[in-house]
Amino acid sequence: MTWTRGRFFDGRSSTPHDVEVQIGIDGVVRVTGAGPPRDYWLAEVEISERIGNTPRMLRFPDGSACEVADNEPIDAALEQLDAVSPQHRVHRLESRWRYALLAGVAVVVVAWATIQFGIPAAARHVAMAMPAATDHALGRQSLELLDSTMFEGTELTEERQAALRERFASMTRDLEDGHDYRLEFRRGGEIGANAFALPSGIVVMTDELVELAQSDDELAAVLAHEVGHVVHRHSLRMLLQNSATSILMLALVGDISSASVLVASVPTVLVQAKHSRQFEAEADDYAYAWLDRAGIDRRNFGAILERLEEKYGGEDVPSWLSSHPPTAQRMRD
Amino acid sequence: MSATPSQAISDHTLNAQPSAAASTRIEPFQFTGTGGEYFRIWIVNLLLTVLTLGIYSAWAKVRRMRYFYGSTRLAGSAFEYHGRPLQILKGRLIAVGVVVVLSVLTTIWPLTNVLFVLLILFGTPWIIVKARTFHMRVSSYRNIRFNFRQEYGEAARIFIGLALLITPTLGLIYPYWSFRRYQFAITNTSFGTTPFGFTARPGEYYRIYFLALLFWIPVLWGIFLLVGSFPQMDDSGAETPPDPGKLASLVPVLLLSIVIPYFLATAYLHKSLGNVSFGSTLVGPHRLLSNMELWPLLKIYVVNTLLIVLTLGLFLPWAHVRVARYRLESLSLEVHGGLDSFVADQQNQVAAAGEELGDFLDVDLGL
Repeated sequence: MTWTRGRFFDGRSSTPHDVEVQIGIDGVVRVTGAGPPRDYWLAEVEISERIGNTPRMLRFPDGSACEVADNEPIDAALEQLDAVSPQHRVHRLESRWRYALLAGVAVVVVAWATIQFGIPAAARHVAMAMPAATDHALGRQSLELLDSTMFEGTELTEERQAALRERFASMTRDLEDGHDYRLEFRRGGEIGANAFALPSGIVVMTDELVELAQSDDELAAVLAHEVGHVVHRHSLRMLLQNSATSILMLALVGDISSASVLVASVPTVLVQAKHSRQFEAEADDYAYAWLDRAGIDRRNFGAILERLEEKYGGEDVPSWLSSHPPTAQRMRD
Repeated sequence: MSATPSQAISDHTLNAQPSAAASTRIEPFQFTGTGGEYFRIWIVNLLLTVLTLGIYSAWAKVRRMRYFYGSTRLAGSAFEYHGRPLQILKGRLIAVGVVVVLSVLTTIWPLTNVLFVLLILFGTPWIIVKARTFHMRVSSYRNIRFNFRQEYGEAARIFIGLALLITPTLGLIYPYWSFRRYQFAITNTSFGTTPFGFTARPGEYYRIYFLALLFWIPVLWGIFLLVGSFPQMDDSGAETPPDPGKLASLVPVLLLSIVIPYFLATAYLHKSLGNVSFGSTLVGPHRLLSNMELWPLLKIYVVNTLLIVLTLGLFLPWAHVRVARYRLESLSLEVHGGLDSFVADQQNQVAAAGEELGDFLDVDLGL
């Protein structure tokens, strides 16, 4: 038989009664000290789960309850009567530092694996299942916005533009993935020699890049890389991955106080940079595969990358923060 | 709220009032939770939540709430949280369902955006009342539940009527709005059959917000400096290179003029609003007293933030416990007579959907 002290409340008034609680091996819970002794079957008593060392509540079917500060006798009695609730196992985990630290390591590993593999794989599946119209919606206003803030009209001759558009068309003619592939030229100004793809299939190339290239094969390699971004739907996947990562981080950290947001955003930024590098590598693969099929020397791509780096200098940021892989790594023979 | 036996109310009034003058004592609130104990609970439940793809989060919430309630004691008895995991899980599923349906609708038909905003605007009072009612009805002390009167009209006046007036009045009614929110939350609460009272005046909130505004003047000045030092574009579109010396000198300026006043203003607001609002709360004949102070609270906030960042979030449970302990141990109850004569009230169950929806949409009383 187990014996402990408690405070009894009849459920109608807040008057406490100091009582003794006995749990017999016959499964009878007896409360003495509040009027005549009260007997209940253990099976009809609702005993609250143990959480840390907070007091337990024994709730009786007549609406009364007893607050018991000492958890050990209750646990011992439940053990003896084989009435331990399944959730008590959670308390066993919570009560040992060893398990808590293991849980901490496991949380980090699971979160890392989800962000590293789970989310990118899910984002690829979801993005590929979405209609091309989604990509059009994503990029609808981008070019207008860039034209009004950054670009000037192109200064290339009509013939030069037509020749490059012809190359571009030969590259995208057979792609039937719902994108409207189109090549646009702009004077880059501030952004200098550059090319980028909008999700809808519009590829923008700056005059400066055309001037920097030593052959049209080099430009074709760059165009193939940009087409790779569109074919693999990188904009949409990036959007999906970034939102999923942010949601996961916030869910882990739990609340949205200023400090937690900071904590959640540091890994998010690193992960986003990593995903961006993976997308660049994927677009590079696409470009090299296209160069091989078209019978163009692979080194054309490396050559223009190298010239770009010479002209604008490598990035000052460390590679784990960069949006692109290091150029040396991107040059393949 | 279901019918209250009027007999119980008059009994209670008879019992409590005459003895009020007889004896007055101060009962301090105590908080017995520790950071280490809460860390173990938090991390184990976080792992279970991750492994069950979030389903377990309802059980985790109940364990967390029960830990904080059970660690809060007044006059020898702990508080108790009665929310049930399945009830909360159901509430969460409904909340997720509503949010997903709304966001899909607004993506397919952008026009429904307007509807969405209207729905949130007009749904807010309902969500707030439901959330508060759920929260109070799953809270108890000495086996007597708290309750909340569901005043939708008053909620609509505050959370739609007054809220829409904030912008046109350039925020001048914001302190009054804050006063009304506290008044609404507190006067509609009851412990058993005993209603809560609220004695604060709007003027006290105006004074608090005015002083808090003074803390923000250096912040505005800092933002002004920051914007002024951004690289300027001239007409040709060429960029004036930023002066590295200027940029370097900006860091301490930023720190001094934004971070410090931000913490000061936050701690000041929490401390002052808490002291005035809780200190003006009556529970039947008893009065709550709250005496938080600026410096200890500021120290807790600064240390918490630094350690949370340095430990990549592992310090969070300690941070929660430190804040809870300070707030609760600053709180006491001026007891007139005794705490033994509260009477329970009959009440119905209320669904958890309102509270969970409120959490998701970030709609709450902001107390």
